[in-house]
Amino acid sequence: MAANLSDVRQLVRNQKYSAGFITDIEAEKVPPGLSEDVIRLISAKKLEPEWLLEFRLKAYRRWLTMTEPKWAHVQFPPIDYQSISYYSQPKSHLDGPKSLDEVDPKLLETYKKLGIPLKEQEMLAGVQNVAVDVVFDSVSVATTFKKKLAEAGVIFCPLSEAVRERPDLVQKYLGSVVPFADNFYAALNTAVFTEGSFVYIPKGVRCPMELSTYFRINERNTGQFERTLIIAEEGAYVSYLEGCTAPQRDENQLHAAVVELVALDDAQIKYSTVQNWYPGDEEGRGGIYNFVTKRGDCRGARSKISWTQVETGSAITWKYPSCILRGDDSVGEFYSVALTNHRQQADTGTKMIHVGKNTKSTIVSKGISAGRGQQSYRGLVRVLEGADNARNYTQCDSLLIGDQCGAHTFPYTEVRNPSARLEHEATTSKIAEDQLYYCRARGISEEEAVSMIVNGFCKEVFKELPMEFAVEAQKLLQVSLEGAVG
Amino acid sequence: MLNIKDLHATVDGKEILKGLSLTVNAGEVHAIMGPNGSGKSTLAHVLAGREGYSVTAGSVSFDGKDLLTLEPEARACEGVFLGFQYPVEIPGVSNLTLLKAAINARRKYRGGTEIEAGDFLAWIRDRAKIVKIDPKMLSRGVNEGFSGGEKKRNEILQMLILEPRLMILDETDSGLDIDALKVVSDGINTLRSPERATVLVTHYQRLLDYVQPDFVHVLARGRIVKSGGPELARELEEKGYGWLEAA
Amino acid sequence: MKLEAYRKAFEQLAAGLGDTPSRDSRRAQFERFAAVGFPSKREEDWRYTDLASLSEKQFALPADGGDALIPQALADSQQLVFVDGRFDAARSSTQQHIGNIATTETADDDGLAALNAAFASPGLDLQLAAGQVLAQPLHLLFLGSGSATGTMTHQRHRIVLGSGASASVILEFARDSADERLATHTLSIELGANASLRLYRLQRESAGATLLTRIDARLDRDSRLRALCLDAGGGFVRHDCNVTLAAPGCEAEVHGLYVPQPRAHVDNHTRIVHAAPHGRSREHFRGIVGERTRAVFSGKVVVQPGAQKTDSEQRIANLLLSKRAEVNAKPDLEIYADDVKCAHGATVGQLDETALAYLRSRGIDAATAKALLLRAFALEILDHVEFAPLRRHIEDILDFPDDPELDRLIEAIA
Repeated sequence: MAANLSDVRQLVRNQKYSAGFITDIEAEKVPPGLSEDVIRLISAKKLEPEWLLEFRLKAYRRWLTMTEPKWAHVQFPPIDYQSISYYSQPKSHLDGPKSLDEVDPKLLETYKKLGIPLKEQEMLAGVQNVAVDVVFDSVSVATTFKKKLAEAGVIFCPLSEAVRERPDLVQKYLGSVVPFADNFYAALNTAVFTEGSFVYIPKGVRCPMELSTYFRINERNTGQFERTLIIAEEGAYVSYLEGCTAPQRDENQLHAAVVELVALDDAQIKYSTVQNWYPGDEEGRGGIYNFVTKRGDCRGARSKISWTQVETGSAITWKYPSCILRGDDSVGEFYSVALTNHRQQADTGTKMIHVGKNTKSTIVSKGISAGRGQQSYRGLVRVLEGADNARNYTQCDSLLIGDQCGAHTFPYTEVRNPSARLEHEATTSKIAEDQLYYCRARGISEEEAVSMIVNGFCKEVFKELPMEFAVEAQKLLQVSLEGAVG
Repeated sequence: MLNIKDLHATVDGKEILKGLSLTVNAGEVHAIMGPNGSGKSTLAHVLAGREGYSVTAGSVSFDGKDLLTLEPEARACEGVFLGFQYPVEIPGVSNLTLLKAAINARRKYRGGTEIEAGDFLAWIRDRAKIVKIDPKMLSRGVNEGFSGGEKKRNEILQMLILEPRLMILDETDSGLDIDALKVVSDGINTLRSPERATVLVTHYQRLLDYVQPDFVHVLARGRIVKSGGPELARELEEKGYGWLEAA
Repeated sequence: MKLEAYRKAFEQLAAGLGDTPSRDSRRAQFERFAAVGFPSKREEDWRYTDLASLSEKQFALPADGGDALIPQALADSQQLVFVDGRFDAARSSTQQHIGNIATTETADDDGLAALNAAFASPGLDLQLAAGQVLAQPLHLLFLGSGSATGTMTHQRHRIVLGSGASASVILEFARDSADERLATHTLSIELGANASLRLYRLQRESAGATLLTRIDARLDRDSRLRALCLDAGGGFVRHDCNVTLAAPGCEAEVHGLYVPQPRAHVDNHTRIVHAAPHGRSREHFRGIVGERTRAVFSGKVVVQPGAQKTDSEQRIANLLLSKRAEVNAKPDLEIYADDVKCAHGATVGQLDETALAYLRSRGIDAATAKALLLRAFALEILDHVEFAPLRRHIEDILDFPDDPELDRLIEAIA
């Protein structure tokens, strides 16, 4: 593996970079701005092979010619891509607060309500020097997990490690689901990604555990430009959980992640997300822009990819986890609960592209808008000419809380095969005063009544989540909706 | 137990109750009758604490506590139960969820612990028998897709399960055929005891054949214009309300 | 250079107008069109309908005196006949309600509206005073002569109903020669308080025709618009229908049926805006999409802030009958008020196989059985046509077999 040391030397010699820059390298930080040099540097820092650097550069050059998508139903001021620092890994403990005393009390209040243990609170808030091991006393736990996974032949590691250990797999699959120039944010991610996970499940293996617990231990400072690649070989099965139910302290405004899933013959991938990034304050100041490209490729016959998401955080969400149903008899699913409160905006949904024969897709989307939140479901169901007997069922329901919020539905249906059957249903309802009064007359507080109604509204999605996650997701909705009614 | 003094209440700025006074002691059953628009339902909702019903004068005490300052849920936890004239549908929230939350709210209010799942189910099954509701129906959304009669029986079931001390039943008998009326009456009589009191708001004398009241009051133009024993109800049935309104 | 032919045609028109204010305002519109051009596929509203090729076309304005075969008039109605975009008084049963609608301001970025305004020739100008009731439906027929190959026509229409007035209007686009032609029509509708308008828009253009229509309706308090749209032609067609329920208590029904002929492209765009409380809207579109056709339906319902108690329902159902056919459906909801009842549904499917089998088991041949089921599917929409002569006319156009006994049979199994 020839690292691009020569490139680094080249950079160092380059007049543009002063001595100060070298110090910056030592400090694992690159000054704000994006250029080919910065990309070469990132690649060099990660000791990447030449092909990966070329891949990044190709994406970068295309990105320069692209413009931000404007069709989403969201509004935000222009992003200055040259003011972002594209390499700051690992996010130093030194940047964080020194103890919980220095953390935003509102954040801590939320942790308390969610019942997060103190040590874990410190980790989530990014308190210095709280090593993961200490938090969970987990060196042994992690080792046990690792051993168990290794025995099964499962690879689960940072993407950069996979680049070194299994370049064959990475080169074969990276960018094969989300092409480098797929969209503006995906191209940007391809050029500068620094973090992310790699999962490989060999043929016929059922991953012996949910890749959640382990992930949760390791999931800290997920990068701004995260990149995840999951490959399930023939007959393999994996359930992967991403995210955390507690809001994370994060200074990055823009998140542009890419997730690629590949399922070969008879393989199944279940990907669950609970996203609770900082949503900004009541007036919409601050908060994360979550612009994510997630796509699964049901490449093999009878394969299945299932997306489940609970999105309650971020100031702006732009996210469409999709399935390309290429294999005959393959199945795609999308279950989503998205909540916008205060001034949050979400434009989220899915794409189901039916390519193979007898392919099936199911979409269940539940949108909750409160405060001045604006929420849009945007979904595409496309049936190509050869996709005989394609089936889709789409249900998207909106629940409105208060008269200042908005709920919008933009379903696209494109059918080119006469044997397709598609069904789309949408409803909009609100939490009515008389429902709340009825509950209160039975002794149930207004907040609890709202959360009961909301959970009832979302239950079709929650049942798709692994049990312990479903409970946390319910709590999360409750906390996120506080103050929305009354 | 319940002491209402000179109660004045408005809805949408219009005065509906105009100086109503009523005392209900433990163990008693009071029937409140009266023509449409006399303020019967308003009284029920003022007691339960519905928003938009503002009390402009007078007082209501429940076991010596000022009921009017309490939130609706606190009133329920104190032991006040309102059987709705029009029970609300809450799709997606099952009856069991609502009942469990209501029981636990009450227990919490009194400093108790949450009910065990086994005890809860046994209790629900036991009570459901009285009102002839198939427990399977309880896994459906609250009142979702219930017929009018089923909704009313469901109100009585909730009451049997929560065991309030003051039961206010707002036209629980209207829209019921005779069999359902019997079931509802049995439910009310089951809870009748020296520690509890009942206020039946009704339009028809029929219910009173099955639930014998101790007192009957006639509400007209926002106040009680006549009180008496069970015989008053029969008199009303024969003569209507006209003779009282003129008074 | 692009749009060159359009400029040439405009200069020809302008020369005939002399030095008039009308010429100047038309020129302003034309320059606006020249600056913006035709809408591009990159625009969300034009995602499925590509007008790019129109830029290169060499359309000219039609010559005077075109002649066309006039179909038999509908009973109990008044005919207004247009040939090659010109009013043909001799062949019309009335000379009323025709006018040159003043060129109004159009949105800066709307190239099509500017094109239409620049070239507009006289069209329907129906203005009814308060309480006035139009006794018979007005039937507007837009026909084409055989000599109008390679021409374009642009017309503007207006319907203004005073409070309590009511009228029925039928617009029928039926040019029958298979040459390349372009026609644009805009219709603005204003309904006063409690006014009522029934509007029928029928399209049976032939292949080669490009037809672009646009309706903008504004409804005042308690007024009612009932529109029915039928597309049974073979051309390249795009319809926009924008309805604003501007005051409380309005009701809008927009229903449609599209049965495009082979190689046709039919795009229906509707936009219903609830801008005031207690509005009710109903939309039901059905499509039978066969061999080599492309059907697009995009319906947007917007509930603006404060438009509480809105009750809106939108249904789209498509039968896709061929491998080489395409359906794109997009029912959008944009809701900014909370106390509303909104639902929409869209389906794409095929004829019910069991119903087909059932009919055949009763001795009906497959083709007839299929046609009967298609008719049953279409009837859901056609039942909204209340004017009997028109209903018969539409059934003739669609040419479904008519057999009451079989109707009953179908009803029995449905």
